[in-house]
Amino acid sequence: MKIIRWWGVLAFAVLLLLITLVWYFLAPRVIASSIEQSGSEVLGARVEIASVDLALFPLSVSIKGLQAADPEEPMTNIFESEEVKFAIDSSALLWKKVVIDELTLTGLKTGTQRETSGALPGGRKSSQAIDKVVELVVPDVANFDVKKMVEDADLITLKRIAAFKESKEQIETQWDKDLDKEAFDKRIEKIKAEYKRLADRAKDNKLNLLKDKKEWKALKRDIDVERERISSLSGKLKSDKSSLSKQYQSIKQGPKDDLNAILKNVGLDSGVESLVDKYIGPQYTPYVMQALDMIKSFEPSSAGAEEKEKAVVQMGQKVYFKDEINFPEFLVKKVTMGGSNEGWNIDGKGFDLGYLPWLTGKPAKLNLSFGGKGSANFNVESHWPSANKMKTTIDSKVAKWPLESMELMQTTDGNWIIDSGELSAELTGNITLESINLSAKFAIASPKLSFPETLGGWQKSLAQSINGQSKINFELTATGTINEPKIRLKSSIENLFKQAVGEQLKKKAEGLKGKVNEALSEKIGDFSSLQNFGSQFKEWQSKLKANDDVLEQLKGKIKI
Amino acid sequence: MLTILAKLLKVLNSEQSPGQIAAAISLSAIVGLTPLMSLHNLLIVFLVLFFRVNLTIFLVAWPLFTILGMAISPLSESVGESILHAPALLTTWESFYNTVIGRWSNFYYSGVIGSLVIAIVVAILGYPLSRILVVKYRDTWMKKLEKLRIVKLLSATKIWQLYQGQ
Repeated sequence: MKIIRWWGVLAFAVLLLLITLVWYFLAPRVIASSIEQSGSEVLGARVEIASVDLALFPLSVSIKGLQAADPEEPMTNIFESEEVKFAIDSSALLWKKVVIDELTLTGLKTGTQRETSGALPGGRKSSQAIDKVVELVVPDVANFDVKKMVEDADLITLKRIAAFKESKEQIETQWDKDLDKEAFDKRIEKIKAEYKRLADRAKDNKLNLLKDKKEWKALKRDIDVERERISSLSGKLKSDKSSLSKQYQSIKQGPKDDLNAILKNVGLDSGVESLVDKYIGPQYTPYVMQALDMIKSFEPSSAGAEEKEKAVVQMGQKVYFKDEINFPEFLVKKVTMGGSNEGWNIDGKGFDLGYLPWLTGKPAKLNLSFGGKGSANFNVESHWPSANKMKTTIDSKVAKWPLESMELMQTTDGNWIIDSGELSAELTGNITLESINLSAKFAIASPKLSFPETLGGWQKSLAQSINGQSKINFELTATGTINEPKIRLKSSIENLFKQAVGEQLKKKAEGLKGKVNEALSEKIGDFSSLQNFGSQFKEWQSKLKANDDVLEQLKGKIKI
Repeated sequence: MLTILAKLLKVLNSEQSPGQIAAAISLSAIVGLTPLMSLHNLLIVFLVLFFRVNLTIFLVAWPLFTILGMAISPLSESVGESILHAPALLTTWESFYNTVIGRWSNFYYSGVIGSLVIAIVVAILGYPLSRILVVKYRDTWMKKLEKLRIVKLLSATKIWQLYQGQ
């Protein structure tokens, strides 16, 4: 019987051809869809592509009409590119690696209008990190229900009083035991009786003094033991007194602590200072947190030897062996970008952008220059000598960039927009996997702010005072580690804020303080009687002294 | 379902050699138990088409082995992990990883290598076993099976007539 089926070879060839054709026709769709999906997920807004052209010889891809919506303003594109073009290195593809010698982005524009909303329905698939809208409402001090605030508060003073009473009770019980008069009297009586017996014997015959020498010495020892006991009790008495005294001091401090805790809940614990952190600070820090989260996502999970890949069901875990093909799985050797919009142009270059970044062997660089109305340069260099070592240096400057519409704050009343002004900024510093050291300084000269008409009170004063400034400054510093960054924002708006809410609020806050204090005193009650614990100690001390005196007298009479 | 059963019985009852049927079962085990989009499966498909392996049995057994493959996926992954992390094999894997075929083989995925090893074992053991079973079926079980009511009913259907007529 023949075991070979010759037509099978033909069938196999046809099958291969079919697979290639299906891949060729589906690849552009697959590329577009994966860029759209992953881009949208990273950006948090729609990333869309008009078309993808794939050429096989040489293997190159052209992506036309790439637009990425602004997550904050879904009807506007954060950027748009007429064409993104790149050729894929076929020899690298043989090694299952995508190496792009040069990626060119042309016709870059920003802030273009969209026909449809770019918002992602339901937000990102992964968690949508930050709620940016800040409720810029400083607590209306007059409306606080002070009584309820104090009623609901878990007062530390009451806890301290309870602890004090418990300690005092324990000490009293212990001292009653230690100063058991009956037991003490018995011991003293015994000593006295022994003294009397020996003294009588000495009176009868002086020679008995010598005969009873051992017994006299034993009596002396008994007296010493008893006196030592008294002395150690005196020491304990002092320490118990000091402990109760400390507890009492903390009770005295209690109402102040309670007052601060209650006022902290309304952001008034440190006066106007804490209000700045509470109401102004969070408005800017989310951006920094977002950026840090992005860096964190690059951090290797282990020594870089292994990485979990969720590629396909059943594929399992990917194990990395030493790769002798010295470039990463995805590498763009050079990126050039250019474009212009009304009044500005962009020129950018990037080098050695790769994933996993430590496999590129070279630092990744990105330089963007904006020109036209003003000038701006963004330079980032990220070097990963190994999976566990990274240093990213940022050095960016913006000089006199005219602002036309820059969102300063989003509040529940509406957005605060800077309609005109001149932005200068400087962002410098470095990030490693162990530490962050970033400093961002922004200055807006001659700001003209438009704000919601519904604003009133201190909010209106703040907005108006911003308009009256020749310059407003922000300085943001991030230090610490990626996992626990310490972010500090300093801004001249803080001062304006303090001025706008300060005096008025200070007066109200003082009034509130007084009311809370009154309510606290009422709830805590008078605890001054607790300080009388000293008299008890005096009594115990005098008892100890009297006993010691008796023993001392007896000891003094013993002449041996 | 009945069509498949009819096909199956027809093949088992036909003049096809037990070796052809057993080879189809063995090779389908490799394609079914391992991830479909793997380089080695291209070779298996080539072998199935090139040699006179019974295509009907191959196509029937493949999905059955795929279901089994999904069920034993965790086992495959743990077997694969042990193989890939075995210190004695590390140099071999490293050298293989640095070849073009090694790169496209996906053998550095625990699920792929683990399931392939299991599939090869199943295929090697499955070939003689299924060969014996086919011979045994034809010698003794076939006659008993033909007497079963369901088979009699089946042989009266149009589908069966159609296959008989082919």
